[in-house]
Amino acid sequence: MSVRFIIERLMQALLTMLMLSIIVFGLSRLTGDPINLMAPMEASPEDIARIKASLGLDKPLLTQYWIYISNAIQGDFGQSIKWDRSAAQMLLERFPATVVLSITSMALGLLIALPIGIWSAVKRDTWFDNAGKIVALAGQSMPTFWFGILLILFFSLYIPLFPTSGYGFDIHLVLPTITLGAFVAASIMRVTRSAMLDALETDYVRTARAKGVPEWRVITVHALKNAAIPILTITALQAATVLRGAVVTETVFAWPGIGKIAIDAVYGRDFPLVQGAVLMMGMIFLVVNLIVDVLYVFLDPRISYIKR
Amino acid sequence: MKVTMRRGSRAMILGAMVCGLALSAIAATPGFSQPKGEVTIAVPALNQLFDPTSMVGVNPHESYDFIYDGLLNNGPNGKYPALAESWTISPDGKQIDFKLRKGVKFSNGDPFSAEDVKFTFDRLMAPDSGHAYRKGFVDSVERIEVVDPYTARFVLKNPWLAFFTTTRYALTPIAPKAYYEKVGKQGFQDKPIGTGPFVLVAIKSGEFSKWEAKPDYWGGAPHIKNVTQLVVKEPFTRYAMLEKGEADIVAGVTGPLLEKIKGNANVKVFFARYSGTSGIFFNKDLFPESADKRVRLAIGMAIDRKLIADKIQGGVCQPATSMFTPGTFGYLDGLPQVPYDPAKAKALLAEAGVKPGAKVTFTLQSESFSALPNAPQVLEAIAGMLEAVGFVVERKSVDNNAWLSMMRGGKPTGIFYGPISIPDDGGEVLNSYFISASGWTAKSIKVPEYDQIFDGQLKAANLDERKKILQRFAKLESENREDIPLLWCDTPFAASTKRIKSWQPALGSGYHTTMRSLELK
Repeated sequence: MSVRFIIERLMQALLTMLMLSIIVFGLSRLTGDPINLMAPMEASPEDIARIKASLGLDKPLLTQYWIYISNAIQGDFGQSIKWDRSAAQMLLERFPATVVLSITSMALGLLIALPIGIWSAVKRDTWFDNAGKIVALAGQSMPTFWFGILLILFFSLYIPLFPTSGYGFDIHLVLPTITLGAFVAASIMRVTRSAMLDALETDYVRTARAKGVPEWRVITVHALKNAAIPILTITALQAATVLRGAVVTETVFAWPGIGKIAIDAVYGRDFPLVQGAVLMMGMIFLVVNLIVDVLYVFLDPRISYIKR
Repeated sequence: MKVTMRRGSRAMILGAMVCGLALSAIAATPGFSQPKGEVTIAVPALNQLFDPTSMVGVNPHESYDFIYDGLLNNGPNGKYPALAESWTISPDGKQIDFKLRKGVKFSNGDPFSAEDVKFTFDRLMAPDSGHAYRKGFVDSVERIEVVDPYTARFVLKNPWLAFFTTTRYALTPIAPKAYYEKVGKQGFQDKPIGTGPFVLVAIKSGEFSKWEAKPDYWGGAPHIKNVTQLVVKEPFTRYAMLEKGEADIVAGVTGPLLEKIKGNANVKVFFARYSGTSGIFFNKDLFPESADKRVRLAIGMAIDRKLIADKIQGGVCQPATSMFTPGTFGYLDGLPQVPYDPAKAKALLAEAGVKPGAKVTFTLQSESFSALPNAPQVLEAIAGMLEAVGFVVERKSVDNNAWLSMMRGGKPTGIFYGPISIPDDGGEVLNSYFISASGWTAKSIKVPEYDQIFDGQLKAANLDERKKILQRFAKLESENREDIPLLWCDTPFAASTKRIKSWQPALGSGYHTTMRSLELK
């Protein structure tokens, strides 16, 4: 690992962000014109042209993109069409809510997935393993919005333990975290089980057992450490799942994060806000993946990014 | 033995921790009871652009009605004089003198005067104005004069009685000239003020607006003290909030959810009556057979409006007899409905030479309108009913934006659905759908008499004469059936009976929340 590697990865990340900006800019324009939603049917072509010009949408697409990207580099995503406020400011206001929900969901997901995944591998083909498989299958196949609604129904209405929705770093976090965490847990659980199964069948595990190393040490030190790479990889990939799931979860629980505002922005064809939200989520994902790349080296010294 | 005890201790500690967490969660769970005088409304969407001189459509009124008054306001019984106490119209109809209410103040203490009226209308008619209905004003208003501090004169290009009957004109919120000029457009957006019954005390874009009642409101202090409008997109979550007492009123309740709410003894549904109307229209270029009245009638007879109203829309809508509702200026009572009679529809089609298997295109919507709750399901049902009388229906599914693009481009499908939100004025209905220049029908209705009637109502000497002219149109259209009237819809608001004593939403608009009439227990 070297500074050069970090710089290379940062350059790749920038290139990815640039590609992402082009894709989201192009796709948002393909979904239609916000003027359609803003101007009444009786509006004359002059009225429409006037509103378009006021939003800068009358310029050629390339010019619009250039303005957008050159401002975005400076942290300015433009003015939200729907709320007439700085899109960057609106997203930054929501950033903590999304980050907190993502972190708690990932933490919950890992808390559920790792012990069950490991124990399922250790107790392969037992009732525990089979139950784990069913839980994982349910977690992966259950739509997030549906699971969220079920949680509201059972734990807000039938057993009134938690609020139905709303924001706060307290009990308001519980149901959204479970909704998102359960989805994350399912994938990590499956990969943990597979990776541990492979690791438990290796020669060094057999040797460790033959040498009389306690079983808990065989599992946690010898097997788990060596199974960590695929687990870390799926965990990083789940960061994208969390961000994607946050869009739905935040909407169901009225959690004021980037996902919820992104949905509003998409329906309102609020281009600056949509573009800003996607770029921000993309950036989070890239940063998480960069961190994971660095962590690989610490987990497995055989991995090196230095070209020989 | 030692190990066993250790495991036992750990399990006990873990169990105690779990119980502790659960108990602390229960203890921390708020009681969800609202403080006295406070009301929370959960809404699916909320317009938070506050500059009334840059109004972007009809929905800002869900915020405007808190802050502002118009020359007229909208209430449970329709429009009533607000900042204008009275008015006189010149004999030629080209001058209206509004006598303004004295002693009214904006929430910053500035007195309201005719200068504010002139400022508001001048600004919305300015060449660089982004006001959605600027054209209507520019087409009719020559200039506005301040005769004295409490008299504003509208000098018109032509008589404009529609001003008094059309929400988008009469209810234009009056902005404070001095304050607006002092703080500028952005400053006004950040801290809007008006003469209305509430002041904005907190806002988070896309999340909530919080309002505080003005005890010295000229029309009398509201019965409630604070209102929070909360954006909750998911319908089930809004219902759960109501059920649990986290919200007192929820908007956007339709279909199965409305049925569930209706069965709840703790919930009462209040309706903004006649807030939407709709019809089925025809693009005669794509569907030339529809030029034959028998074909249009047959299509009307194929549609079971009562079934749709009862089973899909949860009783929020009722079969219509015309695009004018009983709340529309120009409504004519006693017009016949197009009956549901599929057998006769088939016979009429055969008589008109339309063979079974004839292809038609029909627009489906992926989003609901305020004028047509559950639009996706309703339109799919209609497509099915058309198939039942022998048509092969090619469905074109669009979202709101694509639909508006299609309509604005003048390319609707052969058969299409036309909605109106706030169908308050017959002249506007005519303008939107029935004259030869109507954009919403892609200029496909060409009945010279309708154009004459439209011109006639514009020049009417008084409101009675105008009403008669519009009623003549309603009768004529009932005979011609250029459209097939579909449904009249109300906007439902579900409210908790534990907290809400009474409420009368506005007539003819689901966007005018009229919180002043809300009383708590």
